[in-house]
Amino acid sequence: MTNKTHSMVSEKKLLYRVQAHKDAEAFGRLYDTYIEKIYRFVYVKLSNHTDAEDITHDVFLKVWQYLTQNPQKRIASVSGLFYTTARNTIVDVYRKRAKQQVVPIEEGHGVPEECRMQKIDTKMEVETILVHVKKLKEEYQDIILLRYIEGYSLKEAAQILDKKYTHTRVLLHRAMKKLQEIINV
Amino acid sequence: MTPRELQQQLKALRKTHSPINPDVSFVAQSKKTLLARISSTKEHTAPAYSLGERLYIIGRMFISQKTACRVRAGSLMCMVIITTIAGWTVGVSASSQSMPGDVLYSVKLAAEKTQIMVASATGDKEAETQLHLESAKRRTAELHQMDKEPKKVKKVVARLKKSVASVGETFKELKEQDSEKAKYAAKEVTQKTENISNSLREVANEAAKGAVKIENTTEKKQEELVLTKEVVEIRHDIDMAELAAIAVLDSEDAKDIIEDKVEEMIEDAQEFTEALAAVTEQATSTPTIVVSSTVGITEEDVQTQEAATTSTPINVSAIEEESLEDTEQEEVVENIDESIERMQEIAGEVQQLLEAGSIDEAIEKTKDVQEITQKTDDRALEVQGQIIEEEQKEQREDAQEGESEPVAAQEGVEEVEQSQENTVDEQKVPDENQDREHSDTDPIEIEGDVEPVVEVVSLEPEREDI
Repeated sequence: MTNKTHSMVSEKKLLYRVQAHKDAEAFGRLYDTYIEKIYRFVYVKLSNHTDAEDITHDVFLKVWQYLTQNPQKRIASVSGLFYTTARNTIVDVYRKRAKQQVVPIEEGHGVPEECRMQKIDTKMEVETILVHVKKLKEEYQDIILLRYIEGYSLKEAAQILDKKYTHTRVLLHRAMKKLQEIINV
Repeated sequence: MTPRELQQQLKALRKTHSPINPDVSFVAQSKKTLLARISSTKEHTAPAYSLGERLYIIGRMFISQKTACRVRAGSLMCMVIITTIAGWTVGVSASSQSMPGDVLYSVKLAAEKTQIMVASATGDKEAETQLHLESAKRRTAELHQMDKEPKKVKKVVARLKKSVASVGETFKELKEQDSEKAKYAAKEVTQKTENISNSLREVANEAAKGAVKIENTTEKKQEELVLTKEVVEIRHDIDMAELAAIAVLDSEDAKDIIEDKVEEMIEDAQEFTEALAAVTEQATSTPTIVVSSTVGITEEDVQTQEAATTSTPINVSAIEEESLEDTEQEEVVENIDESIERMQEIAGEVQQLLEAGSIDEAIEKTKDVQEITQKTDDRALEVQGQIIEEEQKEQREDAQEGESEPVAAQEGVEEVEQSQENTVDEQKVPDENQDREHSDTDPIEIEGDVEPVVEVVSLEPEREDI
């Protein structure tokens, strides 16, 4: 059994324990697996640590409620469930902000403060890329994040984004092309 | 920046200690808070799921939506197919013992037809031949066991005829298609056709007995005779199919079977002659009983006492009437004797041919024997048919006469009873009014004849002359 298959099976086991037995410990293990991924996903979109932390926390709480309230619901992909919940939660936040006309402080600077402080070294160069990624439209951001930052395969990324494989491949190609254009300007 | 460099930098983004990653303290704190919260909200008692529900939940987790749909559709199809097959199998097995007229008999026939159709569609002539043989075997068994209701018998006979014809045809096709396969199948075909032939012989014998049974009505006799004719005909066909199968066999096997076959045919013919002789004998007496009640008394114009006291003249007159038919029957018996002699001659020739190794010629000769047997059977049955027809004719005449003079007949019966009393009196005290012819009769002989004569005369409607 490959590592991927093994992790998928153990994830399904945990999911079963959460759905059928409302097992908090099992959910804790799922939390350990996904906390960083979801945080990065949220942070790339919001660029605010406090908001990212709050939203990430909300995402996990929502997933718990969803799983325990729908014990017989088929969950095709655990990662897909977390990312979809995160995306929906971010959309809700955008809507709220649109109503409140709140502009994030960090967004005003364009680049995270930490990044600006270390522009000269390699680390800074890498983080500059993140700034450019944020300039891309949302679906390009998602595919780049999932494929290159999180290291999912195209097939897994397609499943998480709920898109066809071919469409995801084209999307990734376009996103990379666009990112290159932005960087080279 | 090249795309490769860009990809590497993106991958490095996760590894570096960048703000894109969450703070470790946040991760720990968030987990703690989350678990505390969900522990307080979750029900302490885990929902009690049955084993089935648990399996269902697990199944749903590991099987994708598409696969689940396919599995569901597939399993539904399987269920439908299994149910259909199981239902069909149960129906067919239940119908295997059914007889014509039973509710399940049509299922039995449909199952047979389906099997034959499948074999035919696959082009497996060997299987098709075997299936036709099985059908013929079943029809023969049905003929043997079923109620002899004319309509049903007719249908079964027609089916049997068809099956036997199909056996011959499919075996011929098999022979043309694959001679090796035909050779392999021939042994079984020979054995099965022989079994069917033997069973048919039993059916024919039974029907032939029914055709001459005194208790049977003439209609019943006629039916039995028709059945005999048809069964004899079918038997001839199945024997021919057997000979066709023998022709394919190895010379050694064929030799033994042909010898047995010819011997059997001759034995059959001899048995048949004996049976026919018995029938002829019965035919000369049986119609006499019927004829004597009509012809005997009207011709002689005897008085009541005459009829009551003697039966001898009646029988004599009846035999005279029957003399034409007797001659014909005797001729038939003689012909059969001649046929048997001829068959024995041919059997000798067959034996010589077999010794010489000419199997094909021996088979042709055997076919000749078969033809002779067939002709003999036909002729004998024809004569038997004539006897029954004659019987029917006489019965009709009796009925017509009975209808025209019913009152007289009634009177006649009463008078006969009276005459019987007179006869008894006469035996005790000789009367002056006793008839001359009657007076010649020995009183002791008369005593013995009284009862049957009264029985015969009691059927006689003509009493006006008395």
